[in-house]
Amino acid sequence: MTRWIKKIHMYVGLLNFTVLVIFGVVGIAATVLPDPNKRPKPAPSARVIDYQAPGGLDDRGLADHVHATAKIPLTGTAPDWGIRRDSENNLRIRFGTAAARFETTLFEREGKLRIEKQPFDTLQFLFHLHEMTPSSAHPDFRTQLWAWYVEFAIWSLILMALSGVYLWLASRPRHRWAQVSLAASMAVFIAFYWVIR
Amino acid sequence: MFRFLRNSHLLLGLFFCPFILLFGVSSVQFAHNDWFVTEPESAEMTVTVDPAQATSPRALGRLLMDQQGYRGFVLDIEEKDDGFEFLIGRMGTIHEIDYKTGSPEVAVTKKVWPLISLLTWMHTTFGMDHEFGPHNFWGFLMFLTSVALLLLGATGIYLWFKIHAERLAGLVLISVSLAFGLTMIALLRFP
Repeated sequence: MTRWIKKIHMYVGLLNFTVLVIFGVVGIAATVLPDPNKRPKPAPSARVIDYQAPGGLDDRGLADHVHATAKIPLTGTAPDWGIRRDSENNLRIRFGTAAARFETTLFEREGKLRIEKQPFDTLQFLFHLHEMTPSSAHPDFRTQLWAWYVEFAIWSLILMALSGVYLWLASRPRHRWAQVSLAASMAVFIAFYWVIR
Repeated sequence: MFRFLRNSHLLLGLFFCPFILLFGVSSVQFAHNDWFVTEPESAEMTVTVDPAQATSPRALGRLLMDQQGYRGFVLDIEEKDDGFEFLIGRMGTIHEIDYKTGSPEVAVTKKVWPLISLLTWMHTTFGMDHEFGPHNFWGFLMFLTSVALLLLGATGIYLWFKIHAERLAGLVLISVSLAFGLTMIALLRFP
């Protein structure tokens, strides 16, 4: 039994190595770096394409048509909060991926669509990767594959923590520092819970 | 060296076990919100204050913290024509304050979220620049947990490599992890 749990602990850790490194890096970055909005952003880029808006559509319908026409990879239809009219009554639609935000502006009279891409910096990209799960991710197979990997890593994290405690109890339960270590962390956790509640 | 790293892996793992479990369990909640009840318990009350001391949201917030024992920090201030609204919040507990200028009464709605929601709050409370001291302490612990995750990974790799019988199987698994992970990262970064 212990032999197999040790194998599972080790194999699961190795299989999740990449995503667990991302979890760690994202946590450190969230502490030591300024908010993403206060960090220098990579240079944006923009392109303008011809676009004839079909008649009889409301803003939601237009946003969906723009999405189907522009074919921005890895984006789903725009959320309601990402659709608005600007001060010149042009329709602005925002799409997002893990790597970039796309701000599209529809100039209906000119028959043009401007697509501005604002890439995220590497750490913000990694942040988006770490929070991607199958229920929230875009249906594209690339995003879904990654999201399932993250889902697997979440359960693996729980499994590794529990199997790690088991392996300690099965091999060196009298290790004094190990006992102190777990007792100290439990005390900190419970004390913090008591303070915050 | 082996003995030192094995003990380090054990002690780090045990010390950070509750925090790593917190990350894991709260992530399950993020991924499967519909599995859990996350609605807060809510209670409305009226609190009496001296209007002369309630001159601004922050002054009233300080007054309520001193008099009523509300803990946390003032956030989401919204000025209105006849007064102001704001929150006094900490992880898992929020007091919604609604005050009309000059009134001796303050309308307070207290919301307390269940444990599972508190865990997600803990998961997302990073950094050490919060106005509320315990949040800074927690942010520091989250930072240490993130560092520990990397150290556990590094020491784990070393310990695996020292088990000769597991080298081949482990090499296959970590190669799969790296090949899959890095390929996916590239595909998502440059679609």
